Amino acid sequence: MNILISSNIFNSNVAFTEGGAVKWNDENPTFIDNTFLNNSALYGADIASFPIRIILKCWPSDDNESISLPSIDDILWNKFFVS
Amino acid sequence: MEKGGTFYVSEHSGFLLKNCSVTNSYAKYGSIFYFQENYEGLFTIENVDFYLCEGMFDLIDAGQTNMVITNSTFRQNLNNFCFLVFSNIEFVNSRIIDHQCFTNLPGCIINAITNSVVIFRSSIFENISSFIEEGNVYLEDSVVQCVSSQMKTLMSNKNKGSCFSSYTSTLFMNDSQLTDYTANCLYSMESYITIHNSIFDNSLLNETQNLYDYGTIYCENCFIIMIDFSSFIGNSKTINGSAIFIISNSPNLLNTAQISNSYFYDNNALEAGTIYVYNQNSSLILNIFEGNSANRGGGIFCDNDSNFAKVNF
Repeated sequence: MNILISSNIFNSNVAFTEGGAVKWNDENPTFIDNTFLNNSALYGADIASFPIRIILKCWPSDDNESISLPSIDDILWNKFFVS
Repeated sequence: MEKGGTFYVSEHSGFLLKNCSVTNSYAKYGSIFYFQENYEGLFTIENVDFYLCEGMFDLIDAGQTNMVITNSTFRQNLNNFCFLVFSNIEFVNSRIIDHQCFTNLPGCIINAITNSVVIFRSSIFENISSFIEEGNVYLEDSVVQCVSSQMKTLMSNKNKGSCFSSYTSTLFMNDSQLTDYTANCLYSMESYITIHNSIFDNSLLNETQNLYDYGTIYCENCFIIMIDFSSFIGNSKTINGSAIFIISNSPNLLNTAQISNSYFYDNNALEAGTIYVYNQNSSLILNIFEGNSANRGGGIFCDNDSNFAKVNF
């Protein structure tokens, strides 16, 4: 399925959990030239999808340094296609 | 009286009723008019006031007639449907107000099935209550055109279209205003929907809101959905998609939806503050989404069942 989201304005929309303006599952819509203003959510103030990346935050930490892990796609690629 | 409280029409010829008032007419079928089966003439009503008429089924049992109603008013009548039509009805510059139906048959204003054509032009429908779950305008295999008309306070005490329910039908709506409705304002299955320059404001609550409350406009397996230059303001749904809910249960690449140049303001739902799309090709272009809210997808929620593709990857 293809969903095109183009040239829209999203202003001051609120999601109490995720995707203040847009939430999508499974297939990524095509976003072109949209304007996002003052949208808010716990996760993804403007756009949220299903989880695709894990960010491990060192805790407790004095310097608030974050470590980014590889994406799910990278992990799957390494697991199935790299011997 | 069993059939035709005031008029029982059996001759195959045109019929004109003009400049009069009909009150306190009663019959089980066709509490004002009953047209004999297979009557195929043209039936015209001009400048007539229908008031306090009552019956178990329909005010006007039109059968196969082609009906044209102009400059007329239907007030405080009590029937299951105003019009039972099997052919064509054109309702021009007329009003239906304070109408109540009380049984469990759909179509409080019009029950149109089997290739009927229904046209509303410059007409007003106000304060109409249905105690059932189907639309006040109920269509099967039919076409409806609603132009420059108003629908205000149309209630469905249960689910589905408080204004329109459309099954394998076609709906064209232009320049119309629909306000203060319950449930789905428009419920459509396997239909063609075209809406232009229309207003959908202020949904109201009904008794089954917590069980089934999706979309001011609900489209399931619809072939083409075109909505443009329209506004959706102050709609609230307890489940998904306060303004528009689009679902395709069996993904069909030919089914498409386009929503453009429209304004969505102050709508809210549990998920998808304005538009929920599931498994249907859709384009959302040049719209403004402002001040809408939901738990997930304050503006839009795009959902897909792409498990098939994932398994094959």
